Amino acid sequence: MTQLLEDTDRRVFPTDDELLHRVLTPYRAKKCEYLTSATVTSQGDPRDGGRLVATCTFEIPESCYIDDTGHFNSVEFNICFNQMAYYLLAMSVRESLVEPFSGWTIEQFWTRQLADVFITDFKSSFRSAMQGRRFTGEIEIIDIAEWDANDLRDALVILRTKCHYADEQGGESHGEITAAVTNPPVI
Amino acid sequence: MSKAERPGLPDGVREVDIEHLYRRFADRGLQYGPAFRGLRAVWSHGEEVYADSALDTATGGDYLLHPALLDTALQAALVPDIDREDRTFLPFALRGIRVHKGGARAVRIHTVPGDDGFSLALTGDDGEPVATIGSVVSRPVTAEQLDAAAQRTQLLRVVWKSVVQQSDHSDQQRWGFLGTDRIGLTGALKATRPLFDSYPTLRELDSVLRAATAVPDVLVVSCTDEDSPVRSAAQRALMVVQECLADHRLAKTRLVLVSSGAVAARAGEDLSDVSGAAVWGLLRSVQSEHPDRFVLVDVDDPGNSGRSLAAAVASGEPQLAVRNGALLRPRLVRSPPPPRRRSLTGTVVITGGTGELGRLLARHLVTGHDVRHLVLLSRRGPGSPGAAELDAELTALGARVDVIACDVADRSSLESALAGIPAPSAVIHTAGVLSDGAIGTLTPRGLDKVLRPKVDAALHLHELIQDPDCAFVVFSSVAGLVGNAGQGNYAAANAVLDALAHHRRARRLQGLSLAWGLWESENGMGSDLSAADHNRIKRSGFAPLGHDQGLALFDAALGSDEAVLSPVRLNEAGLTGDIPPVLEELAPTRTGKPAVTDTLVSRLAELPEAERDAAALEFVRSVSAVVFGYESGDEVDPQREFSAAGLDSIGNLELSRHLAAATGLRLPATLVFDHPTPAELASHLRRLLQESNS
Repeated sequence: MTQLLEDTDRRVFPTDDELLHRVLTPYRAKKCEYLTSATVTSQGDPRDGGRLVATCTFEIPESCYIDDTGHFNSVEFNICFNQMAYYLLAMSVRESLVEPFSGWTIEQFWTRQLADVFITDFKSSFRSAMQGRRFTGEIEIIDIAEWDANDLRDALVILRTKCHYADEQGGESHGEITAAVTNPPVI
Repeated sequence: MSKAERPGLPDGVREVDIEHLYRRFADRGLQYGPAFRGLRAVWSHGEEVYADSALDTATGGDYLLHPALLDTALQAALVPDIDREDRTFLPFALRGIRVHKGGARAVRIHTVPGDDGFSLALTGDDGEPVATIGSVVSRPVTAEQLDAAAQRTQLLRVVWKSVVQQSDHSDQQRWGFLGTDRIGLTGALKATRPLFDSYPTLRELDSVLRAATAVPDVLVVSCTDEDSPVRSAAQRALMVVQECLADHRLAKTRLVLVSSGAVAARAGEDLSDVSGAAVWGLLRSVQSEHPDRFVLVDVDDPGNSGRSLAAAVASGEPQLAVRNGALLRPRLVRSPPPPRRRSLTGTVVITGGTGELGRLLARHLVTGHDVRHLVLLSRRGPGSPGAAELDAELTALGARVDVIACDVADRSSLESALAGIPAPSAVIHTAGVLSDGAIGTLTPRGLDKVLRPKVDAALHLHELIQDPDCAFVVFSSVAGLVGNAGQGNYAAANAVLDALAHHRRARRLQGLSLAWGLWESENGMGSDLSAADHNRIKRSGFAPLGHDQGLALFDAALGSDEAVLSPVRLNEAGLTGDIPPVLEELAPTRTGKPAVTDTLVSRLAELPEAERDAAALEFVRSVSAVVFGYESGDEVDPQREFSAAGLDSIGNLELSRHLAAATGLRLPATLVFDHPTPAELASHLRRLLQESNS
């Protein structure tokens, strides 16, 4: 379901439960499906001053790797980022929101979701402790660099993103993450 | 003072308002300070002028005839032409000067027109003669010329100068070749480098670097091949640069990008690799941002370039061409003023026609040239802000104007726009955008953004304009020659435009790339530069060009036979310290400036009498070339007056000094005024030397 707002090219996609379920499949066996909802807003191309954002909610009933610490920590920050990023990319592919993903099929995305998406640079900052049970998050794609294949290197897509988390008690953390997508389909 | 109080005035004189006079002088670019505003009363009588002048009480000095007082007489002689709008006449040569009485502080002046100028009589209050000048030869000069002289606007050009090759002691250096050997270098490198490896891909280089035992000291990559589009070549080079900068293991490795046919290092050379030129532009900016890491070399004979490449790296120069085994490095030098003026006529197409530069140029072509039909192409066409007003203004000036919405980077859009107009006599490509950013953050999109409107459009225009008589002018930037930091994409795009001009000329088509310095701008490119940006530009040795200055340089450049000229306003104060090597010879105390060490006397002594006149002329031309900052004496026209060629007062003194040193003669500072062409000066020197011998 898409909402077109005020005659602009802004499009808003409420959570698609089926897509979310598919995106979180790799996390299911490990019991760490943290992402519970994601609303995607798309307006133009981030490279030309547009916006591509997912506004999300999370729930972590129990950490998948450590006893309850009582707060949101960097490992969970990373896992939550991955889940937001996968969902945003999947939606970008399915709804043809931005190049080059608009030229991919969703099947091409599923085959690349795990093997071909790499975090190459990760920066997280924790200003004030967040309670880790329920909170909100947001991911925004700042820039997309599409590098062609040549004799020296295979084709590569580099995503520059920003993310942000907050809880209702004023806890907050944010980060800047760069990810590389290798083996992009030849469009 | 009224006429009644001033004896000697004929009937019918008209008094001239002094304030008006000095205002008009100022309008013409002649700004006199207080000491030189000595005219007290002026009367005109037809072409004759009568005036009274006096030195300011504060003006002192022990002179036979005070220069400020003499200058008022020359000012008075300008009065008959004072209300002409097009030009001012300035004194050029003074002959028959006689001072009858020294120490005057006030004079009466009478000027009488004569052949090519006027004569002057200065008398005292007592009616006794103070000084007479038999003939003052004057020459016309426009306000723009005066202004340009004051602001040091210049046409520059690139020359490639020999580099002395050092002996190669780098056998212990490990060399590597990265990627596909597109131009055939590896055979030569293998034959000449004892330690040499090849890495077909970055992945293979990475696996070698993991071993940490075989990090190359020098890593060679070919810029491109002839078939790569500009975009691919630039993107590939950007990728290599970013990988090298990001990989700490390569921190001490020098990356050498090699091309063949990407720069025109010799007159008339074709550029077979226009895409390679993009890499040169990009890397020039990279070199500015990261000095001493990257080297650009263009080779003419890849299969035999092993030793030359080693010598190139050993030279320490960042950019080199290898031609017949010799190493050449690029240097910007002052270009002689083109000998002729070319006026554009007929239909002229301007891309970016509704942008700030496009509008300025459009007006200028109608008012300063004979263009009667303008086709202004821009993305929004008639919908551009101010387009209707521009159309109306140009139409009122007598031109027919078509403002057409056209994406010039889109071949079919451009083709259909050109199909609907008469065959143009000139195409001027001014379109362009900036998208600055340091090299580490530049992306393929960031490259495209700038390449598309500049390069794609220029290449389409090149394909579509094949009429050998059609002028083809592309607006490039000095950023492409100097390699401005933070403008790698822009430098790449402009280097392609420069290359395209060479390429067209080699195909007997017209091509002129104008590598502009920054223009003063209100709304166009550069308008969003910060004060810091402007300071940086100033420190770079260039100052923003005023509109009139830029247009005067445009006109001058049109008459040139060069493929690439760089019209700029130099800020010599900024040309100090750590400047890009390509600018070294423009610096006020440039180290590369050839010294005049050979003497004319010894040179003439070695020659038979019949060859001495020619040798004297050649000598005068070569010394003049040094003063002008030209590459060689061949560029000095023997019959062209020094002043017309742009010799200013400082240059005049410098020339006299050099010639005195080379001849052992005492030469007056007025030498060039008395013998105003190189040919006349050479004859004069020959006579003087013969006299001193006898």
